Amino acid sequence: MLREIFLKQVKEQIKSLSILILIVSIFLFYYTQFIGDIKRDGIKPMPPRFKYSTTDDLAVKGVTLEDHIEYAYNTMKADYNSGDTLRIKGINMFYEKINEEQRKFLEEAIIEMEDIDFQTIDEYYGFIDKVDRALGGNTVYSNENNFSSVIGSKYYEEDIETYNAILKEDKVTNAYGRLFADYIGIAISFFAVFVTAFSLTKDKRYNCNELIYTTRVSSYKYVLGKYLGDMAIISLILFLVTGHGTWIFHGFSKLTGDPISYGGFFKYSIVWIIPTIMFVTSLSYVIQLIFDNGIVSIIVQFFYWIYSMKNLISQGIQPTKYFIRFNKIIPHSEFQPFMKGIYLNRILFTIFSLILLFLAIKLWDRKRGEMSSGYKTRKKDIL
Amino acid sequence: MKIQIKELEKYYGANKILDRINLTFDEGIHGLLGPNGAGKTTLIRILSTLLSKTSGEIYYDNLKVDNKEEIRKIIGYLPQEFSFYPNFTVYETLDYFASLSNIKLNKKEILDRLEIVHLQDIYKAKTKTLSGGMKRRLGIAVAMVGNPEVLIVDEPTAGLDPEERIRVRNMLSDFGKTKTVLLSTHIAQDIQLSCKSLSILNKGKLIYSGTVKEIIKEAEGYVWNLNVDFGDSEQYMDKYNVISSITDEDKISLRILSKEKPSLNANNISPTLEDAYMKLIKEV
Repeated sequence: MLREIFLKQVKEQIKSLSILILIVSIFLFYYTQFIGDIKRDGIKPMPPRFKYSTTDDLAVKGVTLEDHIEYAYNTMKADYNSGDTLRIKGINMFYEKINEEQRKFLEEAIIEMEDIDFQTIDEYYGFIDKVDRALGGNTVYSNENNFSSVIGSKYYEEDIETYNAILKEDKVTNAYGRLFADYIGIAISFFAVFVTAFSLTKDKRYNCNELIYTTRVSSYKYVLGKYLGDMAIISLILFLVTGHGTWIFHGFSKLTGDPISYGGFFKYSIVWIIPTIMFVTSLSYVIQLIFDNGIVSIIVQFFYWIYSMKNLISQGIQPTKYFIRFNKIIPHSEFQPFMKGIYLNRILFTIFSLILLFLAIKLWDRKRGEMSSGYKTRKKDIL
Repeated sequence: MKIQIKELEKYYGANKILDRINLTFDEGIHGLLGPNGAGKTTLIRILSTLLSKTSGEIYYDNLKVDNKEEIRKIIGYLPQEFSFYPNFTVYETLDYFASLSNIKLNKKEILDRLEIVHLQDIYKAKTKTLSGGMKRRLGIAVAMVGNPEVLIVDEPTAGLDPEERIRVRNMLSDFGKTKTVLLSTHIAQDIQLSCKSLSILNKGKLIYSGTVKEIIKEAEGYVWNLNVDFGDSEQYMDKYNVISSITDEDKISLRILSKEKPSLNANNISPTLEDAYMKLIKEV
C-alpha cells in the first residue's frame, strides 16, 4: 500500500506544473550562481604569464582601465613569445598553442597597442575583443573573462598552495561540494515548498478527501507515502544537478590530470541538503494541515527562508537555520572548525523533520476522523 | 451485518444536530430520508468515521464505531459530493483506491469491476472528462472496491438523469442482496423502488423507522385527488397541503394531503412513499 501511494504521488508530481518550475529554478540557480562563480574564479590557478604587481591591495578587486591595458599588453607580449595563450572553457583554464597566423596577428596588435591612447573603456574593449576573436575566442582577452582571474594571479603562490591543499585533503570536489550544497540548499529550500505545500490539501481541492478518509489506508502509510513521494521527486532533481556538477568536474579532472572524488558532490547533497528537503516537506505538511491551506505554508516558509539566509554560519551551532550557508572554497583542515556546528544542525533538523512528520500523521489522522476545515471549523454544509 | 444506533447525539457547539437517535438495520437496503438540514449527512458521516459522535453508541455487529480503523475495514462510503484526481484515468483511479483499501487487483479484475458499473469501455478516459453520472458510477465502484460489508451512500442519484438514476439504483439493489446498504436521500422514489426499510429524520430527530409498506399503509385515507377550476385552486393551496398540481386543459388536478375529505368531489387515492413522507413531515 505504501509503495502504491508513493508511486502515485511521484507520478502526480511529475505531471504537475510545480515540478517544472522547481527543475527550471534549480538549474537556473545552479548555472548562474554555482557554475557562474567557478567560471569567474576558476578552479585551478594558472601560473601567471605576467606578474601583476601593485602596492594597492584593492586594485585586484577594483582594477582600473590602466591596469587592464598594462596587463593586456604584457600578456600579449608573453603569449607572442611563448606561442600559446590561456583559453577558458566552462570551468577550465588551460594554455593552448596558437598558430602562425594568430601569432602574426598578436605581433601586429602589440605594435598597434603601443601607438593607441585609449580614451574610454569601450575603445579598449573594442580593441581587446578583436584580439580575443583572432585568437579563437574564450581567451583571457574576451570581455566575458575580463582578466579578473588572471589578474588574480597576483596571489598565484597563495592560490596554488590552497588549491594543492584542497586537492590533497578534499580531492577538489569535496571543497566544491560544500559550495554546491550552499547554493543548491538555498535554492531548494526556497522552491521545494511550492511542490510540497499542496500535497495533502489537494485531496480536498479535488473533492476526493472523504473517499480517501474512509478507505482502509492507515494514516501513517498515507502521509508517509506522500512524504516519500515528494522527497523522492525533489531528491531526484537534486541528484540530477549533483550529477551534472560531478560530470563538469570530471571534465576538469580529465584536462588537468588532478584526481577528484566522484562522491564529493553527492556526499554534501545527501548530508547537507536532504535534511533541508525533509524539513521543508514536513513543515509544509504540518502547516497545510493546520490551516487547510497551502498558501500559508509558502508564506511562512518564505519568511523563515529570509531569516535563515541572513548570516553565514560561524563556528557556533545554529539550530534555528534550516539550510547551511557556507560559501567558501577552503581545504578540509580549514573547514574542520565549522564541522561540529554544521553536523549538529543537520542532525537537529533531521530530528525536527521526523517530529513534524509524526505530527503531520497525527493531524491527518485527526482530520479524517473529525472532518473540519483546518484552523477555522466551517459550520456550513455540515448537515 | 447488523448496525445498531443507540441514543446517538451530536452537537456542534450548542446546536443539537442529532437528538437521541435509536435505529437498527441489517442486510438489504435501508433508506434514510429527510428534508435538507435534517441531520442525514451528519449521521452518515458519523457512521462513516468522518465525524465523532457527542454521545450514544453505534455498533457494527459487536464493533463500536469509535474503533475507526476497524470500521474502515468493513465499510464503503460514497459521499454526496465528490470527485477524483482529474489527471488519473478511470482505470488508475480504481486501481489507486483498491490500493488504499489494501486490495491487490490485476488488470482483468479492475476491468471486471468497471464492467459492473458500465465503465469498462472508457477505462482510459481521464476522470475530468466524465459526466456526472459516470463519475457517480465510478464512485460506486470505488466505494465497493474493498468488498465492504456495509455500503453507505449519500444522495447517490442527485443530479442524475432518469436513466442514470435507474442504473445506480439497480447497482445498489444488487449489492444489497447480500450486504448492508444505507442509502441517504431526499428523493422518496429512490427509496420506494429499492429499499425494504427506511428511517426518516427531521430536525435531528428520528420520526419514523420501519418498512416502506408500513409507512405507506399509515398514509392510506390521507391522500386525495381533486379536479378544480383554475380560479378555485388557490383556496385549496392555502388551506391544504398540496403535494402536486397538474394542469389539464381548463382544470387543475390537485393531489391533497388531508385527514378529512377536502371537498365532496375529492377522491381518496392510494398513497405513495412521497405522500407518506410528506404526511409525517407536515404532521398531518
